[in-house]
Amino acid sequence: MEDLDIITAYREKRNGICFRLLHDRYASKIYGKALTMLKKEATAKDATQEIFTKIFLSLGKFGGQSKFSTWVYSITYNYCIDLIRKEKRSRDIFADEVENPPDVEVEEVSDEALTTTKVNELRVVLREISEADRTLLLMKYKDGVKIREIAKMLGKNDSTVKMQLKRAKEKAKRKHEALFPGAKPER
Amino acid sequence: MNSFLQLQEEDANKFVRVYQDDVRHHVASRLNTVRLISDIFEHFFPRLSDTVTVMMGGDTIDAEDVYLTVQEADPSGGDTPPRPPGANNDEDITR
Repeated sequence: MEDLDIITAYREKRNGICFRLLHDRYASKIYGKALTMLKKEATAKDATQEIFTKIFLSLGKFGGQSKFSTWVYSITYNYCIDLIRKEKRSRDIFADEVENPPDVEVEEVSDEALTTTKVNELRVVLREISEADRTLLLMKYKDGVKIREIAKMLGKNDSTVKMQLKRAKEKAKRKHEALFPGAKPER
Repeated sequence: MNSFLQLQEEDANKFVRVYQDDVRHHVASRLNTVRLISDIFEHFFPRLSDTVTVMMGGDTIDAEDVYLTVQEADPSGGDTPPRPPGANNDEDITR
């Protein structure tokens, strides 16, 4: 059953089954994205509840011009960014490195070097790097957000985001080498 | 498989296993509460505002013409209540 059919049925009858279908289809995705941005499981869980309440209360505003998943995705990101701002972990954390770039030359790290890292090792590495680097890497490689979209969300231009991403990959690689010397990538 | 995607899958599985039912229940009850409040507001606010307006000496916004007095409702103006259905010529109705 398509999303739009479920939404139409839900709007007409406020049917519990439609609610459950929509919820279960998107809840884990919303949680995953919230976890990417908010870092803590408890905060991500609370955010998922808030985002879902928001989605169901404003379902009448969804016109169907874009895909439902895109609409849900934008509500999720906007909510998380607002939350980060409120907690004063604002977007400025992303600006810090642009304003104070490290002097070292950035080594180009291939995507494969990170994407083939063992999951348990990747988890540790992501915990160890800065929040800005972590969020950028997760947005790009876990959630598959395009550079242009990340730039829009962070209020920066594409080339700045590309440079930050390049640095984040390089730092993650160095951290991985330091934490797991001699570790081989997963195949 | 991309390790990041594996990570995502692990997070999603954990959510389904640990949090999903709790989150669904919480959202459903919150939606019900919001709807109950909005329904109450929708039904009673017009009456409440009319009552306050009348108490302050004004007229109701939405005067109801259908609330007729006994005299208006019964053109014959009789004191006796209307006959129950089925009763003819003062006969008793056996039920």
